[in-house]
Amino acid sequence: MFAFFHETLKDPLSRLADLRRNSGRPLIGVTPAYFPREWIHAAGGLPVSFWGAALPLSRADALLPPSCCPVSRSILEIELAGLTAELSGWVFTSLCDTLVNLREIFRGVSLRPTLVFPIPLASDPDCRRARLAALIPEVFEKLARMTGKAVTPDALAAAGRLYGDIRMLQRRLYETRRSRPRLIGARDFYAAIQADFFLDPAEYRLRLEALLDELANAAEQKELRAPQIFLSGMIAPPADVLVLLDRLGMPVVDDDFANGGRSVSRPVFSPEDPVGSLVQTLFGGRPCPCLHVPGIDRAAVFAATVRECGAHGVLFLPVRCCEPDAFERPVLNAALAAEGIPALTLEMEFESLPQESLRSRLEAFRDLLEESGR
Amino acid sequence: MTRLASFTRMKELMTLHYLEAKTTKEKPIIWLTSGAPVEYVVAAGALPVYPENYAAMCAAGHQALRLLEAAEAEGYSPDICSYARTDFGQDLLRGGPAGGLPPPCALVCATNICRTVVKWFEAVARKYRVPLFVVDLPFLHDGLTRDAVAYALRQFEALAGFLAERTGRPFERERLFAAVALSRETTALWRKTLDLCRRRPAPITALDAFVHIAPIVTLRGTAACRDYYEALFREIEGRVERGEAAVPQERYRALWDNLPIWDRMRWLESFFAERGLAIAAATYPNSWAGIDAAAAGSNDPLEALAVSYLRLYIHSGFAQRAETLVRLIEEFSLTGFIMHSNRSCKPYSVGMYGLREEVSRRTGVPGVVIEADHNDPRQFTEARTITALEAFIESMEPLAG
Repeated sequence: MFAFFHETLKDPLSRLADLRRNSGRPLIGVTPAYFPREWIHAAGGLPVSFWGAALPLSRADALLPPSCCPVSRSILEIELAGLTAELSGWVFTSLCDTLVNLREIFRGVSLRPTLVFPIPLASDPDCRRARLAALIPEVFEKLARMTGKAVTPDALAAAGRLYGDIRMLQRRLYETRRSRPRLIGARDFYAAIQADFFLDPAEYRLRLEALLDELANAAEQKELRAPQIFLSGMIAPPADVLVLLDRLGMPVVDDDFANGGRSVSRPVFSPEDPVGSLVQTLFGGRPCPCLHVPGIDRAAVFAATVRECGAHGVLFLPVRCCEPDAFERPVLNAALAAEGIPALTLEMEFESLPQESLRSRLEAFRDLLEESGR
Repeated sequence: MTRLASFTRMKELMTLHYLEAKTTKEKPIIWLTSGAPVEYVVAAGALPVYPENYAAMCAAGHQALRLLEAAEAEGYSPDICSYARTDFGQDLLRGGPAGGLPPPCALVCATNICRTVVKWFEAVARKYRVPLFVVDLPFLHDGLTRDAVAYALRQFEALAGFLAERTGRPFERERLFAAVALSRETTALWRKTLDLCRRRPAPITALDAFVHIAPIVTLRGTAACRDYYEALFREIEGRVERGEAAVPQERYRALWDNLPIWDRMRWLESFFAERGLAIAAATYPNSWAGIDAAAAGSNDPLEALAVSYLRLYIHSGFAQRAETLVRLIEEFSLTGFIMHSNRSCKPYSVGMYGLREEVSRRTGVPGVVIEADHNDPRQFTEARTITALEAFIESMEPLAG
């Protein structure tokens, strides 16, 4: 069922030329996170999302200090290594201080144009809305310069429908996992979600529909009573970790990754109410530590989400040096402790993950959850 | 540090400030970030308190380590800014020179120094259950825009309403204009003071500037602050007139980019002085060096204020940063520049390696990057720093005075 998605993620950069040719659209690299991809599609482009990769960092280290996260380092490495020659441009948001400066580095080293969509953080909702209203036409204009095609209301509506369909299908996949946690392994599940980064959305939609049909008829494995876990962090972990979870029989019921549950829970942009829908696209859905949303208690939302999905424990998988994520871990841990939900933190790198140590810690965590009767 | 009579006055000012903050019954305490428009807080009759300034005081007094460790024991990762960790630690232990900061009734933070402050102040807001007002000042990738100024001004208006609500008093615009006028005078004096280091020999060094930054960060918008910088300027001007040098036998003149290494100020001062190196300029103290009405293209003092808070060095694109560095190197007749790659300050440090190459190429003067942290002494490796700085000083020899 998942072979196509795994195949898509096997060396996806080598297939960018085919993607460009087959789609007939200029490819636009999207860095983390929350840039409305439907805008790119409406401008005649095809978004390709980059969330970091496991590759040796030989060039990026000359430009980034050791305190930068592996996501930014590997995205820069991909660019410097010439692996993105098929891209016509890059888009950034102002998600964190590192990414704001990474865009500046790209301007110096990349031959391709870059644009930034600065996500407003103002406390005052009217100020936010006014800012977004000013930003939308500005970003559309810059996108049009990148792709050579203006964003029209019709194209925006069509792109909104396409990406809206995808979002709904991904939500169905999440719901399927929540209701039948032993049906889909972690590695398979995230392959199905992440294939979205490197496929033509029309094809991805079809593949996802077919997958959901197959899953509806598939039988759930009759597994032992293994504890169910919730994954948390900025991005889904490398496949090695997911394989380990599958091997240890620890079904994942949900997550709040920026490239997973957090994005999937957000509505897509709608041209009928551009500012209102953009507010929802950015600040609705599961809270992200990179965005300031007044009045939202992320720890309370997080604990409620974990409780409602039936997870017995939480596995925090923070990316090394991700400051926004690190700030909130104590309060999330405290919220879980108040609910009596055990948690384990395993810091993530893309490369040289200590497999044996990871396995030992995960086994110990599973045993703890089993012993505690959860 | 250079022996300045003003130092005593500065200590008095800061002591009085923290004393007032710890004892006041009348003034609501509002915690701010260093790039927030404090003039509004002063005008609202509240007392501003800066955790950044306090964290720096803790580190300069070699008291930060145990506070950092206390925060880490609470689960705060060493990946988090060391100012924030020091602040969390002082709160847990009531530590530092003032025995901890007074609790806030509200928080105001601005994103012009980093986005980290939002996460930091969110944590404080949770702890004290007080409201947080975020002034979002957009990063200027391509220079100032009218939209950015309008966005800032709109938020300033909302801030006035927020403060009125928190203090329970109507916000008086006359008081705001008075505070802005005082800030304008003060920042102009600070600019003039820093510019005195264009002279050879430099009458003070940037290490002195880092120390004397405390009042302008903490007390901007008050007459006491303006008077202090008036006196400081006169004193340093006197040193220039008498030809007094901060570094005897000044041979080299360099720029310091990024925050200082607070825990190592004395060590660095001795190291540089022994080798005849005067740190004659720095980018960081310039952050509070001018409310430029001309730059705003307007006579409106609030617009000028908005522009001054938007146009910070670390809040600008790299092309602008390179221009600033090149200009400072030329105007201050510098023979080199030192870039502190600061583990705790990503806005300053990410991209620094590339900037060093560009600025060296454009100016012909050498630059060096040293890895450390502004508040975490564990990130400083003395031997590695000595090796890097000695090689750097040697590379300046052909340009030495």
